[in-house]
Amino acid sequence: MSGLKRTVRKALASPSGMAGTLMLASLVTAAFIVAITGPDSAAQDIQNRLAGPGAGHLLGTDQLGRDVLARVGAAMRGSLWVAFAVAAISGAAGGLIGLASGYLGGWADVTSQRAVDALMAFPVIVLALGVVAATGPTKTGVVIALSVAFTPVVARVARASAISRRSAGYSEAARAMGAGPWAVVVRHVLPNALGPWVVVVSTQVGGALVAEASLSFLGVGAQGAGSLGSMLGREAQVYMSVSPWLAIWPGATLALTTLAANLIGDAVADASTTPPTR
Amino acid sequence: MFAYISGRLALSLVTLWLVSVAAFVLMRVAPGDAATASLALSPGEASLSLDQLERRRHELGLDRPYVVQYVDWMGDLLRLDPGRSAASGLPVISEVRPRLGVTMELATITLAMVAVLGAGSGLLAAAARGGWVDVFVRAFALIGLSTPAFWMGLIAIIALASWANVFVAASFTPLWEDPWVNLQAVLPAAAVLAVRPAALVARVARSTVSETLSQDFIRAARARGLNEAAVLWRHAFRAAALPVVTVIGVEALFLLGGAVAVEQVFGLPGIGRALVAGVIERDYPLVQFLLVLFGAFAVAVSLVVDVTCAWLDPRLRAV
Repeated sequence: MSGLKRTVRKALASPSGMAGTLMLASLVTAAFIVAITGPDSAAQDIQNRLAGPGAGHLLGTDQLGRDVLARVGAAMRGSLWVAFAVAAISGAAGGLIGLASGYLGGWADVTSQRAVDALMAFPVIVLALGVVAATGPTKTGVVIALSVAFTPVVARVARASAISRRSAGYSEAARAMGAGPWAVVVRHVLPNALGPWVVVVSTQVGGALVAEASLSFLGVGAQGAGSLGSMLGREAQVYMSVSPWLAIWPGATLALTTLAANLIGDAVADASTTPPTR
Repeated sequence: MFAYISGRLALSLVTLWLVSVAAFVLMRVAPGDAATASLALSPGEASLSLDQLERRRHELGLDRPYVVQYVDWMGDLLRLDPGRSAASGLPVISEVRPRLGVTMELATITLAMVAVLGAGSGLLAAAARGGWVDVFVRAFALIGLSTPAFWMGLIAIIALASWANVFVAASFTPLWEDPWVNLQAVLPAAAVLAVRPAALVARVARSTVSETLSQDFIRAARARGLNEAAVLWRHAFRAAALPVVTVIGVEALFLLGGAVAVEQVFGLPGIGRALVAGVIERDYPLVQFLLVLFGAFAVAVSLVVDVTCAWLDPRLRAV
């Protein structure tokens, strides 16, 4: 466990980790300040439709006169919520599948590995679209779809580290002293296999943000101000040539949020691969 | 090499079969089926009777056991006749065929851009580390990884229209009808799609080439009096080809996914757009076939990449 703590501390102290954390924290804080003090994201100011950035509406208004800042804030909270939910669900599911198949081996392993191969053959968006066809184009549907699409990668990483920890010296020693398989997994394999798992899960957040935005953009996810992607969808596209701000603000927010998540993910990956300080 | 290729081929076939099972299962988990979808879409009918539904199910063979349905569908698939679209009533294959060419054109141009720009700029960045190409490549990699291609596409369309007076047509023109109009939509689409993979390829090429450049055989080549271009091309780049090919393969898969949203932005009637429309219209026969098609592409790409890597590096030929 201490190794994991050291990795996380080291990641947050590195320049890119610090920059990412700072960016994400300020974006989230800004979103909450907007939610508390800003105008209602659904309120329409018909007189000032498609206004540019200015005093009354800091980032301007959309085709119905709704405040773009308030909408971007609400959409960012929606998108982040989905991204973290997907990372958590796929992390837990993939971790369990990988750990079980790596530690048990045999038929369980072969079967789950072939299933992972088959699911990884689809591009993430394509698999997610296939699952959305089954779950229905809603926010919950998107969370389920992206969790299914992101689980195989986690399972593969978790399996690889479970296999290497299974035959490690400390696991052998525990078995020799009469520990049952359950005790070996929980006390020895799991804590030591957490490092690579944290790395892959933290790099998923950025990917999940982009994937969620793509699905909502395509019209099969959260609608309206529920996601940064849907703010760029068909409805808004008609007005983008008149008022480019409608395209710029949600997209730039999405890119910055993803950049922050990717910086943190990279920092975690770097911190765990660099050898311990000499 | 032969043993490696045949082993790898067998594994691909297993994966492909599982891909078809996954597509089949997903469409059976879905609420309703092709019968409800096709009846719900016929105009003027607010509700439909259970009796009607049962008859339609029987017509479409949906009342048979799943295993029978799967085997039947598999047979149709092998004869390249995967049923009819629930939305249009046309054979799925005739819906998909014209769209396949569009996606192929987009993917080919994008991959060419990725290979040339990615490997080229990575090589230049490694040759002059800390130079402006190097800074550019690193900045681009960071932006490319965090900016969705579809948003870059939206911005590109607005920018082209307001600054360059180039308008991406709302309706698509095939390449052979008017190449100029066609490329006005396809080239910017390929360019935004290429940013992320090109940046990644450049990053990998840069790090492997610069690692290779510090090795003894490069010093030996320079000592023999080879000029820098020959050192870079004949020695350093060849040694770095393996990771670059691997990244291009992984990114080709990602590109297929990214193309789905980019086709939508640029109004390209490719298979990605057909997939989205199919999902929204609950056109299960079409979606099921497109899932297999995407999976088959991906399996083929990873087969080609693995075989190329084995050809480049004999150590990888052990199965």
